[in-house]
Parts: sequence; structure tokens; C-alpha cells
Amino acid sequence: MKSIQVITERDNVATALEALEAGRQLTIGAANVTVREAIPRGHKLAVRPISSGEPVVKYGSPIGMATADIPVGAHVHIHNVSSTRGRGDLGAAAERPAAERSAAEPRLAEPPDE
Amino acid sequence: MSEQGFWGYKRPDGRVGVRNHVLVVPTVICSAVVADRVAAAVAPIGASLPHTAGCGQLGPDLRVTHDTLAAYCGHPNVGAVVVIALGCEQVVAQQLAEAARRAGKPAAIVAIQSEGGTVRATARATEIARDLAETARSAQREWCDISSLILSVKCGGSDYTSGLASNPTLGRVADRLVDAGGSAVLGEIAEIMGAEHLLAARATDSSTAARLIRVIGRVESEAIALGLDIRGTQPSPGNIRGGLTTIEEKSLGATHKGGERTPLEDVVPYSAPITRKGLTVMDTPGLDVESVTGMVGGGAQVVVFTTGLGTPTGNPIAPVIKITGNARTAQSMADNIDLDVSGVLDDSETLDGAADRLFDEVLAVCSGRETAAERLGHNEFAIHRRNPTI
Repeated sequence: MKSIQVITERDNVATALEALEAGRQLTIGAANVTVREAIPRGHKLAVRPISSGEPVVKYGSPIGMATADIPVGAHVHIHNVSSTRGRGDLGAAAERPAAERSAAEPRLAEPPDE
Repeated sequence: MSEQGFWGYKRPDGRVGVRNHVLVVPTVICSAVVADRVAAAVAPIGASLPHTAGCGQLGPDLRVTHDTLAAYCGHPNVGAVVVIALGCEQVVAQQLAEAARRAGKPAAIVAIQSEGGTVRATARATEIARDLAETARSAQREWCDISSLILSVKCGGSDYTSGLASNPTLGRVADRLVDAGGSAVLGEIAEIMGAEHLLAARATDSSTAARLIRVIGRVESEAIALGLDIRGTQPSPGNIRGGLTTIEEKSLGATHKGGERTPLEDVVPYSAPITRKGLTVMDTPGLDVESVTGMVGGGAQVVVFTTGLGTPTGNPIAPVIKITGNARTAQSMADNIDLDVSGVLDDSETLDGAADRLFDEVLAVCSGRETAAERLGHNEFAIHRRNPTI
């Protein structure tokens, strides 16, 4: 059974199909990757270095932005990746027109997910 | 006509059902207990739609409540309808009965106030429901072409296996159904956020692509308008424990279930009729029960629901088939799971092989095979609301 899966060649992360311990050696294509820290089953690790501010890519598309420099083999999750979507908490001036439009027709937010 | 098909119920309006329920519909929360008791008296053919709305609602919400209830009254999985009214509510019982009759189904109304209270209304409605059930039981299944199916695709309790195994398996089934002339419907607008470029590229015309982008933009701007971070709910805490980091990642995995090549034909409001072949996106929230309720309202006769962490959700009138790519969930929640596709992850099965099994399961369920959710009595129903109750 394979221990990790990289979905497309554009991806800079792989999904761990089993729990990976630090120090484990993995082969990804022609490259060797050393796991830097414990990766829980189902979580992601970097297969290329990702600089802070760069997109994290899975399924060939961006899934968010790195908030720290992420070395190869490191755990990639909410501590070092941030979504770029639906971020009302950022309060950026650029988002005010959308906010004002919605404020004109007050509505509740979508209910929480499952 | 393709040769693929199933044994279904051909209805007078030309639609095809995969179940044949006597539907007992409360117009309002106040008549829901009576409706439940009447449906239970004619179980298992009886199905109730208990809901918390029907009065104290502002215009748009009242419209959604009415349209959803009317859509269930006309649904092809329903053979006959009993409407349970209170008598002073906003939703109009006559309009619900009329929706059933327009679809060629017998329909009756019992009102609690004019009947003289709970006991008399329950007795009267039970008598009517028993007569309707007797007639409905004599309906025969006939061979129906697969092109008459509208498949609702849904995921819930997602984890890393959803995007790698169960959603791509379901997507292949959606592709095959559309190839055979059928339809698929995908909801949960918040869970397309981050994957909209892939779906928009499959839109058959630019106005459909524009409508998709507009509804996603509305959901996103609602979160922004509240000054909140959508990360508070998307991904959910369970999704994050399961390894999903952002809504974009969840969406990219989730959107697989609508197929890899199905053309995006239409974008419709909540519970609105699905009229096009190919893929339709419906404007539903991500909350599982509200989402399934809306897609069945739109006319989907069968739901395939992928899950990683496991979830029991069913529907009162449509079978909901559960598949998982998580081998542990397949064992730990075996009661709730119809199909285990975890072999895709350990290379013991290909995605196409898993899709073959799921396709066969869908047709068997449409011909009458009971799903886990049906066996367990899972009949969750919730109408989406946007505005406060007044």
C-alpha cells in the first residue's frame, strides 16, 4: 500500500495515507523526501519548499496561501496555511463595497456545515 | 433510449419515481405532530414532512417554504398526498393539494381547527391515508429508461478520503448517467468556493458561468459583510481533524462528485425544478439536511452521499445511498454505510471499478433495494431559511 499520494504534478503537497513518523524516508517520483515531523493520517506534507505568501497547491489548484516558510517534509495545515476566501475578519478596504451591498439587504449567514 | 434502466413508477405527468409514498404534509409547524402520527399509522408507505416553518415568515422565506412543500407534493416518488392544515397559517393547504393534483396524484386536506381538534383530525386523516395507501400499494413498477433519473450528489462529514476516493467515484457515476441522457444536481454553494473555475469552464454558455460566479460571490460577501471569517464554519472542526485545511481544499475535493466532464447546464434557486439534462448547480447551503431537502425538492429521485467521517442523513421520500472511502468508517459505522470504496486508496480497486459497483447500486436502489438510511428510519427534512421568524 502506498503511504502518500500526490494528486497532480503541479501540487506542492502530498496527502499521508497513513500516519508518518519524523525521519521517515519517502520517494516521490525521482526525489527523496525526509519527513520532518509526525504527520497524522490524512494530513499533508510539503513535497517542495513553499515560501511564506506562496500558494499551496493540491488537485492542481491553490488551496490557500502559506503563512510561513514551509520546508520539504513539514506538516502543512492550519498553522501554516490560510484560506484566501470569505475572509470578513481581514476587514480590507477592498472588500467594503461587497459588504455595503450586502448590508443594504440584511440576511443571515449561511448555516454551519455538517 | 439506452438499454440501461431500472424498475420505477411511471407517473401521469411523465415523470418517473423510484419510491411510492403516501406523503402526509403539515402546512405549518403547528400541524407537524398530527402529520407524523398519520404517516406512522400507514408506515412504511407513509412519509411525513415535519418542519418548523409555515407561518411568521417574511415574503421570500414564505415562498421557499411553500415552493419546497409543493415540490414534494408533486414529486414522482410520491403516489398520494394528505395535507394537514391548522387553519390560520400562511402556507395555503389548497395550493399544496393542487400541486399534487397537477401531477396527477390524489390529494386530500384535513384541517385541525375545522375538524375539531387533534384527536378528530388525526382519526379523519388516518382514515383517508389508509384508503390512499391501499390504492398506492396496487401501483406496479415498470421498466424505465435511465435517462429519466435526476441524481443528487452530496458529500458530508468529509475527510481526506472524500476527495481521493468517494467523490471521484461518484463523479464517474455522474458522468456515466449524463452520458446516458440523465441529470445530476450539485448543491452546497460554499463548498464550490475555490473550485468555481473548474465548473465555470464546463458551463455550456457564458450566462450560466456568470450565474455560478454570482451565487458564489453572494455567499462569500455575506460572510464578509458579517465581519466574520468563513473559517469559523468551513471547513468544519471535524473536517480539520480529518486533514482538510481550507475551504478551497474542501471544495476542490467536493466538486469532483459532480463529474469530471459533465457539462454545467443550469444554476437554479433552492428547491426549484431541475429541467435540464447534464449537470445543474442548485443554490443550497452546505448544511447536509437542508441541502438534500432542496435537491430532492428540485426533482432528484435518488441521492448518493459520500462521507469520510460517517453521517446518518436520509430523506423522507428519496433513498440516500452512503458511500465512504474511509475503511475505518466503513467498519465503525457499518449500520449507516451502503458501499465501501476504500480499496481505491490501497490500490485493491480502481476508481472505474468502484464506479461500476456504485452505478449498479444506484440502479438496484432505484428498483427498490432498501438503503441503510431507509432501514434505520432516517428521514431528516429541513427547509432552508434566510430571514428571521417574525
